[in-house]
Amino acid sequence: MFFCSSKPGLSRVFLGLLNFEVAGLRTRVAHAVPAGVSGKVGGLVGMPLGEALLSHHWGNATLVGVDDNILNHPVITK
Amino acid sequence: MKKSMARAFFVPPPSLIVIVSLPTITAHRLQVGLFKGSPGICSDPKRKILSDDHLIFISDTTMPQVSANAADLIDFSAEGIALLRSDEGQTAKAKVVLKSRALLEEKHMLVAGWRMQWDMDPLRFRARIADMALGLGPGSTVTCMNMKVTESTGDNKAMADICDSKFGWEAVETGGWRLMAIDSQGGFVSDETMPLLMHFPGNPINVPSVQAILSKHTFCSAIIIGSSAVINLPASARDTRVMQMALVCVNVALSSPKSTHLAR
Repeated sequence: MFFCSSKPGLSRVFLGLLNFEVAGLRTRVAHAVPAGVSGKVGGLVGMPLGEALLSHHWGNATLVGVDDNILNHPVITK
Repeated sequence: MKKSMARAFFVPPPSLIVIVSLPTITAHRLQVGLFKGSPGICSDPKRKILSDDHLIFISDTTMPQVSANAADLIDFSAEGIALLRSDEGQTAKAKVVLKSRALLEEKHMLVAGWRMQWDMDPLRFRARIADMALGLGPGSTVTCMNMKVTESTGDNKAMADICDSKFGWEAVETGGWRLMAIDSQGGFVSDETMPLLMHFPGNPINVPSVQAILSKHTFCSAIIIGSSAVINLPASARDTRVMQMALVCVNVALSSPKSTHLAR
């Protein structure tokens, strides 16, 4: 919020990434995602992230990170 | 843009590259070991992807699609690798630098409200203002409007305690405090181009207080914080307070004789 206030265009970039209207931030479980030259499903499993960034061969997407299985995250209850 | 992030560094101007993580932050995280195995965006490049990990990507479809011309996307040939390592390639990367603050515009910002967490950890307050300072040119100001005053005397000593030199601020003779820069050793150093922080005691949902500040200053942007310096409000009350502040600001700005741009 503080950073965006002095960089007005940045809030539009974030909104564009989050609103799913065009290209946006998305997540999928690694074993279900096709990747590599042959498009093998789960092709990035076992690969270091740095190598995966150069080897996914996606035409319409860019890999930006990896997260633990969200089902393993502790559930916060009040 | 059908290019990988690595290849994107070699696109000719005037193409736009959005850097997700600032180099200084990344370097700091690497240095202190925070990066090791960490998940998330721009996480540890050595982290191995497990079968049930979740890949985070930017895409216009819900599932990434392998390009029919995959071999064209990344050049793994000897020439391509040589280009990545060449002086030409390194020069292209070196051109992707953050714009110097000295070239940025002078802006005046308002921060209405206060977070009690900043009293407990003044460095968090400093970090928020430092975030903002990345986009502010020389001569810029940040004005904090809140009820943070010393009860007995009504002065701004309570604010001065937060803006102490040990937390990276220097007092300015004309009033207010200037944010100090951080040198390569991690110490605070004086920097005249950094924004000046000023304090305006008052309740941001009080119309006369808002009229008083808007009659004296013109702001480019305002940050409205729902929490208060004097009472710990529940979440619903903070939401209401944000809406009240926004309405008061709009009302005062519309009734002001000065021309004010309102983005609603």
